[in-house]
Amino acid sequence: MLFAALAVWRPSARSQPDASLLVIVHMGVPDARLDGDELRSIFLRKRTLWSNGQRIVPLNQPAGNAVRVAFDNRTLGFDGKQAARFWIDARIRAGTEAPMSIASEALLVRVVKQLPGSIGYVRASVALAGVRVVARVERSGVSAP
Amino acid sequence: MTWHPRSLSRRETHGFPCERHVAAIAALSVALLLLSGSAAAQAPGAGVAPPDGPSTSAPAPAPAVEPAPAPAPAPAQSAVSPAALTELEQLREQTRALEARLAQLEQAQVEADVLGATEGALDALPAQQKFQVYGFADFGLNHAWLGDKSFVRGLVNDETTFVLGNLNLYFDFRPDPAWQVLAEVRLTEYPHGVETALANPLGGPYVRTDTEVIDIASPATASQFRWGSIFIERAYAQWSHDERFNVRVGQFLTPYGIWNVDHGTPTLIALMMPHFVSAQTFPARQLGVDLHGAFLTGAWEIGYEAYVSNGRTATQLDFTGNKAVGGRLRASRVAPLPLTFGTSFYYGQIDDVTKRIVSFVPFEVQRDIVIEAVEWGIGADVSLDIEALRIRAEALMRQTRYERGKRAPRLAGMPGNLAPDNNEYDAYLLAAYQLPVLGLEPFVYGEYDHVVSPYGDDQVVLALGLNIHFTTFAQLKTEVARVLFMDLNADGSFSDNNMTLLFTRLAVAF
Repeated sequence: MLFAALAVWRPSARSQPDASLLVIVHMGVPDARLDGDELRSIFLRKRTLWSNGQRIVPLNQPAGNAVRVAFDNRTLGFDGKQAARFWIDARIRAGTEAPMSIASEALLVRVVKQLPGSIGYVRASVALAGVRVVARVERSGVSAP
Repeated sequence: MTWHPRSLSRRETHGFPCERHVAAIAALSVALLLLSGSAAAQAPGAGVAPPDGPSTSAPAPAPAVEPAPAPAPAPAQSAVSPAALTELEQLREQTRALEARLAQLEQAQVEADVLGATEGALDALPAQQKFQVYGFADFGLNHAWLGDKSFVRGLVNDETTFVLGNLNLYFDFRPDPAWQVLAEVRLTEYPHGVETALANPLGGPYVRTDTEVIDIASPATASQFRWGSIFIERAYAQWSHDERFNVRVGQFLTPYGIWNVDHGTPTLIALMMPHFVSAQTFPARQLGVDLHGAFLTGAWEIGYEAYVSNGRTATQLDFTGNKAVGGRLRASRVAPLPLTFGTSFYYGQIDDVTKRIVSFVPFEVQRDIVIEAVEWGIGADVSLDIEALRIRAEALMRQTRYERGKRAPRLAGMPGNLAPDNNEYDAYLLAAYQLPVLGLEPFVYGEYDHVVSPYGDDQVVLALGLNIHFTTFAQLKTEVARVLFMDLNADGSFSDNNMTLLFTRLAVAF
């Protein structure tokens, strides 16, 4: 009875920023735009190379960060706990590591600017320079930049 | 792994690269504080409220002087000369300008921190990922309820006992993004406590392995401990061309189904293994070469594994040269609903040899193959997540055929009993539902398996369980399983071997 009652009750979705997120890549990345499936395969570390053979370096925001939660939810379909569990499971199964996390958006932009093959995401309000936008992630899904 | 520029204390302690900013901020701080003190000191006489300085969220530089005293509250209006008011206003302006300048310098220092840390990060990025140690552990208790006439009464401990479950460590070395060397080892107390023989009416003694030794290097004179062992779950080197082509050489977990690869207590949903996993209907791990990869097609991923190995051998050596082969093909997607279909196969030999000296001069050793069989099997699996519902199912079959006169001893059989040719079937269905409160995840499990065994050829396992996820890395898992043997007793009653088992584990990933 208790389980049944709890099963039908779902808490409200965790608050996420309404703002659009921009997916940015190093200027040397040849791909002009990425769709939702491609982002998913990159940030789950399933796809490992860019189309020119360069190794992909995905960069996350820290776990629990509102932008990270929004990105995981909109592109990977994960809530915060599901994402954490996914990476724990991936590591136990095959030693697969989650993408490295960068603590601030300003820093992430600078890292993507300097690190060949890197890809990350920031809020649309963040100032960008020296990087290329390859996708826009909104509540409704992933679209062209 | 979160990397934060503030963690790079090296540059803070060495003053690199913004010493001039720090010096300027310190000088400005002193000037600002003096001006603030001056303004505050004049405020009561001026009879006006203290100015509202611009607020800044940036951290203040390390204070080199005592903080300025708080301005006193404005007293009642009193007579003030116009010259004093003008001077006060000028001081206010200076204060505002200096505070604004201070904020600019602080911001510049923060940005310089970020830039400097970024440059450091790019150098350190690969180094940080070169070698990692992580793993999982579980501890808990077991209890069994056995029938008075059960075949396993006396064999299986049916008292409530705490157990040290798994303590698995991963040593993960990535010298290059394309290379990985992974060793997963389990630290155990075994072989201590393993019963190797039961006392019998023929006079055979009860034998249990005892590894207790005196620590002769200890400062204590009679310190004792029990040494354990290290079990190699897997150890391999892997080279990755891209996601489509990877080569793994060494000892790897046999890539079939769900359970055998998940294999870690924090990753698995249930505790009690399916029979085909515990009995290794497919070998749990193999030594050889494994090719694997995945092709990404939109939302779907088509993955493959193909391996050649020594197969099921008595040691790590292949005594006959007959290699085993196997593989797995799967189609999976993550969104909108995580779903995987998989199918696996395995073909190999079961071999063992003995060696004996047949001549001393000339010295000659003869090798005899004493066990020889061919086995093959296929399996299928489905994994589906629907919101908080997780469904897992696997089915497996294996056929084993022995050469005449070369059968293996029957596991848990009477002395002299030999393993028969066998057709085994096993399937389970597992469903778990993550409730939205307290991390509760109840699950149900059902399994049917057919295998020729001393306990009964057909078994059904029905189980209920509850996982409590304290955090994403720690959970308490509890499962109660009823094992039913479908072979009835001679008088038609239910099997005496039916049993109920309780397992609970605190599982932690680290």
